[in-house]
Amino acid sequence: MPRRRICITGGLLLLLALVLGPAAGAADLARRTAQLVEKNDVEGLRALGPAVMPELARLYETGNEDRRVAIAGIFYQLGLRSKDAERVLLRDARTANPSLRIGVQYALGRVSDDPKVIDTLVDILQHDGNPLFRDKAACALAYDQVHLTEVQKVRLYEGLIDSLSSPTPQIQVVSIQALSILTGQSKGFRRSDPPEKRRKSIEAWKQWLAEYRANL
Amino acid sequence: MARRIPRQPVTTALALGLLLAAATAFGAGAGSAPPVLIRYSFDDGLTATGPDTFTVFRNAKGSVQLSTAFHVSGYRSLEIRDVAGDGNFPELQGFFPERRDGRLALHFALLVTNPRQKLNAALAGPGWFFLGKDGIALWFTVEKGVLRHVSDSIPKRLLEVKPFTWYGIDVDYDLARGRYDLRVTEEGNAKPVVSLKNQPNASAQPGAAVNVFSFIGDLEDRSNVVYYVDDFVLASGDGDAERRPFVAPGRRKFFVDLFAEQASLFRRLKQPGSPTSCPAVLDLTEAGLSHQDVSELRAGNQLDLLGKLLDPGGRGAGVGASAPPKLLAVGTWKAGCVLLEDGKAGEALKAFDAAARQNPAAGVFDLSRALALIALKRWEDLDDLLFTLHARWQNDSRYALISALAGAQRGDLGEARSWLTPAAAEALRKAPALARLAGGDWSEEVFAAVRAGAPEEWKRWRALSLASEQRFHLAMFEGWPAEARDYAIRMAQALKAAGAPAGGWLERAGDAAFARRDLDEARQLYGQAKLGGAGETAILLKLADVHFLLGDLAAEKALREAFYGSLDP
Repeated sequence: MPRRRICITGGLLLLLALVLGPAAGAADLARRTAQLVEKNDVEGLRALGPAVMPELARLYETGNEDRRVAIAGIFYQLGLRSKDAERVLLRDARTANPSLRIGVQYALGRVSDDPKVIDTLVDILQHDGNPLFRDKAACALAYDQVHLTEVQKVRLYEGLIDSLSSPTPQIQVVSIQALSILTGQSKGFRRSDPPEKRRKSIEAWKQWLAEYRANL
Repeated sequence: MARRIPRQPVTTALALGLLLAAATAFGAGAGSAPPVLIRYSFDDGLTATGPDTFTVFRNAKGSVQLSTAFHVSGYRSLEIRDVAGDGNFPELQGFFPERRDGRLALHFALLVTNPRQKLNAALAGPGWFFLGKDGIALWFTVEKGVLRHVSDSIPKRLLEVKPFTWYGIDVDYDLARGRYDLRVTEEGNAKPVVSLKNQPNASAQPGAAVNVFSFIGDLEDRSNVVYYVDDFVLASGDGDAERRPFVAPGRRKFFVDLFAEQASLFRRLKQPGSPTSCPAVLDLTEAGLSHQDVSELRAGNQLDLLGKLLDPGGRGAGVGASAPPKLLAVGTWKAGCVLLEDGKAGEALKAFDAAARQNPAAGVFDLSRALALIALKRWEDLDDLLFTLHARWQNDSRYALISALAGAQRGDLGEARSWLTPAAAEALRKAPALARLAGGDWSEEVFAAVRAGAPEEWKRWRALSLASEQRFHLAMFEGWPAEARDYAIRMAQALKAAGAPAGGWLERAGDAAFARRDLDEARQLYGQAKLGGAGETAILLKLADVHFLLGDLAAEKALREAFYGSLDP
């Protein structure tokens, strides 16, 4: 009987170790991540590998706005794709907090290649009431869509070319700037030109997009 | 549209690495535009570490280096090897005088080992490697098996790239109009596989300036590409300057072709009274120079002098006594080369001996000593030297030339048949070390065993070994590959009968069969050589050449993959 008791006790201990082992590992990752976020240690976070992204998303979700701004900046610098990060950032894509909004707009393209990101940024560019947010959406579209394939870029170009027809002058200006950054050309589009000349340029952009599509 | 995070040119990350001369092109600063801005075939021995038109960035784990594995012309091409996830990329970058108008003709040959991996080749201006005015003008990429050019800001599909196939890319670029004609030729295909006219440049910018070209893997650090560039030419198409025609498709140069080139030199050198010249330096390490040495010479503005000393057609230049010791050694060697050409072999030998003492690592000094000893007919000294050179140079066509010259000058190669006599067969059976010697293993260990086993006869065995090698090379260089093949096969049979490794001679027999373009037999012999213990790498690549000529591209691919790794996921 004593021998059997030892066996049962040993089995229970093994079971506990199996159950608690991963939990202990996850707890350690959470603790390490929180410490590194506190120190804004991006390279330390990068060293933890892709597993750090869900944990960062959890910290983002549970943090206050200042913490969220900081973590959005970390997402930007890490540049790792993550559905969790995309999900939590998209929730704040319309926040009224300017620092958080801009941080989120910049970070989205660095964590995701989902069409929702392009659609969100193009919608902000075309319809947001705040010109600062529109400008920063164009910035993000020009510089930060780092995971897009040539095929996925069609949606991006489409949104920017469509924005050239906006009745709002600022939207036209930032849209052609974004297109110029991405393609190195403007196809003669200038906000100061008469509407007919602008219309011809937009037509040239549409033809260009058709050719772009045809080469995919 | 101000940004909070500054955007830096990607090249700021490239400040490290071996920075070599980025010399401007021939004739820069002359009154009229030179017809050729840059021409490089990677065969003059200076690219790897010397004064040339390129800057080479060997960042992280990637590399940019000369390679004899593949080449369209000459002996070598440039190999660019990127490594994914190492945080950087290797780059070949060259500058030339800025051009904003007129025409440019660009040609280069490209061979990719795995077309799925990404590479980029571009010509750009002072705006650097970005799309835009004075930025990238011409841009080619290979990715996911497809060659594209970026025209009008659109990556446009050109063709599906075959692995291990040379493509010739020719661009006739009108800078003022910002448009170009493009032709791509494929190895083994007489007609161009791409022929396009009047294409907008990378971002459709007329009048954009250009002054730099670049070959890299990828910027995203996801590429494991290994590719080769050869015969790079950038020429002005202006005015009276002759417009370069589109070149014919590049043809793979087979290893036996290298020996054929040396055979042509052999026929000239063996003529009585023909001046002997030193072997060409194909790699600066052959002159005993390391990357560090070259960097120091560059810092001391002495690369031009080195270039003159290594120029095979030049008569050298004075090297001051204060020059670095290794440059002094090259100067001493070059003085010996001039003496050798002038028929003063005795004085040349003294110079080579002195140079070898100054820098014993310079293998080409020893090859030159061998040539002087042949001219002086000092056969015993030559035998001593060839035995020490064999391990390092036995697969080099320059060594084969020396071996053949020695055989031709001595004229006593009938002795080489002594290996095939019953008495020799008996000796081979009794003494394994002797059999290994006859099979081509001239290591110190084997030679010591032969000397210990036959104190009275070791010199004869050594002479026999040299004679057999010289007989083979002489037959090959004289244009008698059938005789070379027969002799090699008989040697292999004798070794097999003695239970000794015969791989080396079977490989030679395969070489001779290949030279005769008896491809089926070459294939069989190489296969047997591999089983018989010949060097596997050399055999794989030779077999790949055979299968290429036989039209069995699948087998060729499999063999090359055995050497370079699989191309399949």
